[in-house]
Amino acid sequence: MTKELMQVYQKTVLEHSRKPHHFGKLVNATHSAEGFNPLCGDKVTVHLTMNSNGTINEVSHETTGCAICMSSASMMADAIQALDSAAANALCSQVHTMLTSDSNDNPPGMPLKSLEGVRAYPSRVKCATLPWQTLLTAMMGETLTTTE
Amino acid sequence: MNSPLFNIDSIRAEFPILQQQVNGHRLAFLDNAASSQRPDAVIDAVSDYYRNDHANVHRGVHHLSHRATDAYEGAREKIRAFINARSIREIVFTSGTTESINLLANSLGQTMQAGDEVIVSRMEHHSNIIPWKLLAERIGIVIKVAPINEQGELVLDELAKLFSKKTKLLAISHVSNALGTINPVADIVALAKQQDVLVLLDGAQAIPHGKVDVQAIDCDFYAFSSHKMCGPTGVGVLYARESLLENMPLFMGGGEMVIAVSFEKTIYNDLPYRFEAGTPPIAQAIGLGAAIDYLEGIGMDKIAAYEHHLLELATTALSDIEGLRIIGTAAKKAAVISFVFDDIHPHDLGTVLDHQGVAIRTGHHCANPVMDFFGVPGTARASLAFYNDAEDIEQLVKALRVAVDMFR
Repeated sequence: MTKELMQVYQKTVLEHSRKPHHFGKLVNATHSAEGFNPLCGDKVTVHLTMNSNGTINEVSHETTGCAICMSSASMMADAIQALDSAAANALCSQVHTMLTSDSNDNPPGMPLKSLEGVRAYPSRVKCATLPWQTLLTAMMGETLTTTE
Repeated sequence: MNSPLFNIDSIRAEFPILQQQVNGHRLAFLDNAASSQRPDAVIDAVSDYYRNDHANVHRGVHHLSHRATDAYEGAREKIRAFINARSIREIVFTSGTTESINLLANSLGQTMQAGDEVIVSRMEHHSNIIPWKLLAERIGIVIKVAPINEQGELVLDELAKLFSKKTKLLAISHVSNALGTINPVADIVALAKQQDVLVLLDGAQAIPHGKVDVQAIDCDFYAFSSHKMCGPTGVGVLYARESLLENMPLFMGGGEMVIAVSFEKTIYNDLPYRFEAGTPPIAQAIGLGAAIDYLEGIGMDKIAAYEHHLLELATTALSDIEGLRIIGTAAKKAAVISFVFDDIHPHDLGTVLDHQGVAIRTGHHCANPVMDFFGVPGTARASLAFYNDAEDIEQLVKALRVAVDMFR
């Protein structure tokens, strides 16, 4: 298998896709949004409970999609737990930049770095960004987003 | 399967695109239902036309315009003979199957009113659903949907119950792009005729795989695309029974479809030109003519038999892979195999296969209602053509085993 392919489907990604973290509904969610990729049929629903200060107390996702989409949603849920909305927004834009830019200067310790291999596959980048786009939509109090 | 009747090696040698490596592997192109590849004969016909003969058709008195017109109209005659239409007046050039169906929906739609019914099936491509949905939104026609069974076959008894006095058209695929099912179109047409209902067949997936005879099928309309049958993109055909076409309202207006124009009065052109507004896809039509010559040189019956052999080979080989489930197991199938794994998403399969030089389609195949019926978000689809061989299938199976090892 080539290096690029191993980079995309590395161990962390496959583990998250086989056993996604925070998967399921969330009782008492204050914010929920659905995200669709109409081209491939991927669907991510993000549920959040946010307190009055805008801190994410709890998060869950229901994802129907490929290994890249599933692992991105799983890692995202791990990463945003207990963040306030400003920090969650900042992380969203950081991850978006990492997944869509050509630069190789993402630091080794950067959160979600294991997802960056997808940059070698332009047709698959949206698989990785869909959960994050859906998270942003939920935080804004909206309920629906699509990649197209 | 090299034989004096079907020499696969010499056929493959005529397709320059197949002679390349992809990601360091021999290319196994198994996405033919999305678009086929072209032999030298077609590529040369298009390029020769542009190098030597190009001018606008039906317009100039000069030499090149005559030559271009002769070649373009020659292609129309080849198409007529290929599908056994009665006359070239029944062969309307369009940009492809999608435009053919939209032409019909827009033209026939002008003769329909609110409450009139169009029957489609559950296995249709979006291009045979949306034009009718648009008509429903615009004038209030009603769309009825014929069901399919677990094998992906049309349920004829249920289809028969859908006809009513308000049914104006049955619009149905000849072969399903997502499932490979070959529908019993002659029986379906006979059923519709008993009810006095017109029939459109979406032949996009049928035309490359075997002989199509519109008189034997007895359909009223037949739509297909050049690019699925080794011809250029950007051209397709709507076959329409002349007695119907004669009275159908016009669709697009422009040059070519008129004989004389003043602001007081317009005289429209004869059939089929009055349905062909604007400069047509001349080079593409000529390329399609060359594709027909090429296919007939091999023989559609031989192509059908060889592809059936490949389908059996591939079905057996894929069935041996643990966890692989074939979607679409109709008794009569074209060489299209849709499949899923419960624990591996089609897009991940597609990427891993691509790395091994194997091109397949993954996703919903523009047939969401089919995916919903089988309860899957999408499938992986290997679709075979007469220039595929046993090695392509071996390469597919080997690549799938690599993917399975990776994701399990």
